[in-house]
Amino acid sequence: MEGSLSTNELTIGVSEVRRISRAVQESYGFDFSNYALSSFRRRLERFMRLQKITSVSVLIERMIKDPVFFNFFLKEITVNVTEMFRDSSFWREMRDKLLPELNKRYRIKIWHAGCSSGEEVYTMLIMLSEAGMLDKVRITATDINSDVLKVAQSGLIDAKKMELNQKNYSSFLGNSSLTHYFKREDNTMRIDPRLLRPVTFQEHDLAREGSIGGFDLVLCRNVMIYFNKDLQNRVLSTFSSSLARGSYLAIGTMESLDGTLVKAQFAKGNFRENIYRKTSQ
Amino acid sequence: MISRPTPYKAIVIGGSAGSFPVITKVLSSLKTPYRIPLILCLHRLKHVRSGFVEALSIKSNIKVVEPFDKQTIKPGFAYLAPANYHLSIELGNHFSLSTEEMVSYSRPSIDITFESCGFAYKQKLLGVILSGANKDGAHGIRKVKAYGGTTLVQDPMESKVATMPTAAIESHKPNHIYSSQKIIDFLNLINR
Ligand SMILES: C[S@@+](CC[C@H](N)C(=O)[O-])C[C@H]1O[C@@H](n2cnc3c(N)ncnc32)[C@H](O)[C@@H]1O
Repeated sequence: MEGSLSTNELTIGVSEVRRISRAVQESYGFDFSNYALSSFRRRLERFMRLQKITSVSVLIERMIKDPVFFNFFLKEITVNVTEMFRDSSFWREMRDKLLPELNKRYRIKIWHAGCSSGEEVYTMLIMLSEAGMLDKVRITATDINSDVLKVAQSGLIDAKKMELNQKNYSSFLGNSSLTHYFKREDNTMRIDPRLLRPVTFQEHDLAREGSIGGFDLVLCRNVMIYFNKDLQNRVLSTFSSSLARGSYLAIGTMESLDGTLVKAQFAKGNFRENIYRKTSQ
Repeated sequence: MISRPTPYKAIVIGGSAGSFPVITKVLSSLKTPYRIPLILCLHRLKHVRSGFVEALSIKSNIKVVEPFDKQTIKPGFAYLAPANYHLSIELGNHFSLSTEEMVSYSRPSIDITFESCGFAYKQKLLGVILSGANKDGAHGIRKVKAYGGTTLVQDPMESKVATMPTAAIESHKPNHIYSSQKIIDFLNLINR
């Protein structure tokens, strides 16, 4: 059935979602075929509603013909909502239980997979700086969306977002004030550029690319929730192959390795939050 | 009139201000074994992660849990949309979570959960809107009906805050408008 109701009522079915991802893959290579149907379908409907496109055929035609339009589609279809110190109890546990472990190492390599506009990376940097560990880390932060990566790299955060970040930082119980790390520039806040020194930002598509090296810690939070179980398993095995035994994987607060194919390779130990230690070779 | 009950695969319930006492009463009045999974999308304080499940569990006859992403949906459970995430249903009978933008200032959004339940369960879904202070859910419950599901709205006259049930009634023609006691009776009746 072709979705062509009034735009507000637009509903696209499973076969139409498949048609769209097939067309995207054939023309541009991106692979959305294993995204979670519920949210991907909703993102498609939202995009069509905003663009006032009432049929899937029209959407596909425009995407194939117009690479600029497709690029815009790509940016809109991913969910980039993020906060600093999101789930403060997770970051407290990182600081109190994981950092002392990592600090035993001479060098620490960290991968933020799906870093969006950078808030999660900034959180890590501030936490490391407060622990006096900034000098020994190398961070690789990746995302499929080049626009958010540019924002992340710029070190700028919309001043309007700072209130929530502040609140999260307060419940993280950091040993300073968040404003200490930022400088105001009109309506944005710029993070102290010295903090960003250990970070490399790069485009990376978890659906199509594999490991980018060995790490002591991989963070992938609120990214795999947009994937179906098959893709989650594939991505988790990429992470697993990026981690030596004794290294760590941190996932989102409402995610779980239960029921995944890598479950046996990881253990939570005495972490209460979703931090796992790789136990197999 | 209650005609022959259909075999429902799920019951989705939405509410905000004033719905808490109704939900606790429902959960404490369900006859066990209750065979239909309950999916609860209730507005609550942002960034408050714990406490709600415990509060709902105290008198509940079935287990109340916050599902993690891709968790399988089983009978005998009430699944509560976790704070700061939207809760959706996948076709393989499991949940998906999402951090998309707020809808009607809410995350979780009742509209999102209802629409996705409607899409997945079609006529095998019962959608229930309870007391609440905004219009979230009005669009979702209309979708549930459009997908073939049955809809039930708490009588605005009996609701602590009538905005949400009133909006639900204005958005579509519900199958039933019931008081909380009749809602409980109905939920027990369809549990064959
Ligand atoms: C909701 S944000 C999560 C940001 C951050 N990790 C957090 O927890 O706040 C999800 C991010 O995943 C990215 N993403 C989606 N699909 C991806 C893929 N195939 N490869 C890499 N990143 C992807 C999106 O672009 C988006 O920035």
